[in-house]
Amino acid sequence: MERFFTLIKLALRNLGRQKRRTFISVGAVGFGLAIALFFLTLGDGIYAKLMEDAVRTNGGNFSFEHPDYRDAPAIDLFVSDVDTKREQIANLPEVETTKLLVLGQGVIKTAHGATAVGIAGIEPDIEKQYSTVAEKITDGAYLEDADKNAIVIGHLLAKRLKVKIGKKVVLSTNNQHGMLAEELFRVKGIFKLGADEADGYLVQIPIKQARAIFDLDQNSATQLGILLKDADDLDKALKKSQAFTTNRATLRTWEETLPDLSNYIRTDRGSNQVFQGIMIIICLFTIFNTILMSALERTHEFSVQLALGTPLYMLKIQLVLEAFFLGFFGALFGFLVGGGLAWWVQVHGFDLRLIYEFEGELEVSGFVFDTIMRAKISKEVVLVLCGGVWLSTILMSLVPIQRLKNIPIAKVLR
Amino acid sequence: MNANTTTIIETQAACKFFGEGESLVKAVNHVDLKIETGEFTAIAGPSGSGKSTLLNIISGLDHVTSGKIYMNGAEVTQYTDKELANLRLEHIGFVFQNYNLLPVLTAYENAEYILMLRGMPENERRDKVMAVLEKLGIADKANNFPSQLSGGQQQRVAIARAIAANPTVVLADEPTANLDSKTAASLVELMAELNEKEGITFLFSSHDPRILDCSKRVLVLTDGVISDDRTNN
Repeated sequence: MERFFTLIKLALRNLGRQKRRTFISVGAVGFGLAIALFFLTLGDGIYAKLMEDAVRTNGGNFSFEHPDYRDAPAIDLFVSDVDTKREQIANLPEVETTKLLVLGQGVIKTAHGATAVGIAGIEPDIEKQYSTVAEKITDGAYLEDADKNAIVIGHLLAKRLKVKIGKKVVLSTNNQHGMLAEELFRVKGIFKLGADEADGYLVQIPIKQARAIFDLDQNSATQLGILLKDADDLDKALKKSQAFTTNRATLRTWEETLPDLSNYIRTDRGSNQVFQGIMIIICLFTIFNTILMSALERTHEFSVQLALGTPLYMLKIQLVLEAFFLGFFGALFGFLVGGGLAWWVQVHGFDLRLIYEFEGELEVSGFVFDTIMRAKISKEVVLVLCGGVWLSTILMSLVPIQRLKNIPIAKVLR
Repeated sequence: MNANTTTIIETQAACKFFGEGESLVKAVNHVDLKIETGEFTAIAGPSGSGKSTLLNIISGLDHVTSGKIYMNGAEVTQYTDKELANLRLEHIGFVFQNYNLLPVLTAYENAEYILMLRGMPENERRDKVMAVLEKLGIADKANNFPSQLSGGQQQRVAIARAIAANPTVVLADEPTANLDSKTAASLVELMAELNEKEGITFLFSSHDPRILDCSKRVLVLTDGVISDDRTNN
């Protein structure tokens, strides 16, 4: 054990004898790690917020759907007996709430024209708590459970149809049997999500009336959406919910119900990871150079140690320990700087508008970004990054270690 | 086991050649010698005569081209690198021309290094090292790093490192070459005293007349061959 402590002493003192070089190496690794840690956690925060907003407005973190609905969305592909399922699912500890959606297509008409729309039959009281549509009402008010023949539409649609609050619109569609169905509504609210796709196409009506128009019974819905308390519990909740599937009700994750958003997040996260990975690799090369130089310039010292009878394995451990401490201090520095910055942005948020100018909202794949970004620090990212950098630094010492056994002691000491 | 029990080192037709063909250099050429316990022996000869090479092959820092070397009666020529390292650790003390102290260790820690490698308990090490540093007159420099010591002081620390672990033999390669004449003279006296009083066996290479005059035995090496083996009175 004393030998080990002596090696630790040697390793630390060897790092200390070239203070400037050690400082630069630790700084390089720390800087690279800090940048990577900050941007990866910031990315995770943005993706988490984007996903959270999207799933709350749409079909939840996961949902029950008819097995064929994803391939060819149609009103006759619905889930029956949703109340029973809802009751069962609501008992799961991971579930925050459930929501029902009846989704179809139709045409909205006014005296000034007609246009195709996506019709969403929603539960107003639940949507008001969770959906961003309710938050983005710019004129009038959002739907209430007691409303009859009330509709909320996007501001682009309202502009196109030249309708205002209280004006009448007619919604035409085919019910589940293919029969034409029409209903008169009064515009109760106009929303502005910031995404043209939603503002010019989406309309929301109370679910009772949606069921009536599409001739669905009051215990059926296109989607039974499940919102989780913590999005990271998705796999756990999915596993438990598997028991409630039937041949007419299958489980779909948000990645399946919102494929555009999912693909965007996957692609953007991938490119972010690659970029940060390159950054870390560049910094690790600095460390590699330091370790190699440090070993090469001490060939004479190593020869002396070997001549005195130091076992080769002890010299190897000494070099590994030097890399161990170099990596440790670099990882610690990177963690403190990058983690500290990420923590600040997680708590206080950072408004992108401070550095960029946007016209309107920031939109991605039809979903609106909140310009106030918050990082999301997870122990997995911190451990993988800091541990990875630390471990990589240690592994880099293996190259000079290989040279130790080939040192021609007598020649070097001559 | 050809060696006598009092013989510490024995070489039998030891050869060390470098290069090949026309550029072949016979640094050590069929050297036969025996070093007995308590000897204070100098290997003399001009530069390039093979003094350092002979010490290197005796200590296992370099391999012989042919011939055999015995240490305490055991043939070490066939030892693996690991066994040679252990041999040096357990039986040989080194004093180098350039001192070769570890720069990140203090004088005390340098002198303690081999004892630590041998696994001696710390309190025993402390007593032993401090006694040796005291004996060599550098106890007050125990906490100084090599860069804070003069050449003579560094060489004394190197001698302390070499003798602290009670080696079978101390091999010293030109130990006074980098010292001024006054310091060199005091160092030679010190080594002679250690040999005389402590019975430590010394084998060193040198062409310093002061060392040669103090030596009990002088081996003269010429072109890798022992050309003279004389005993001083």
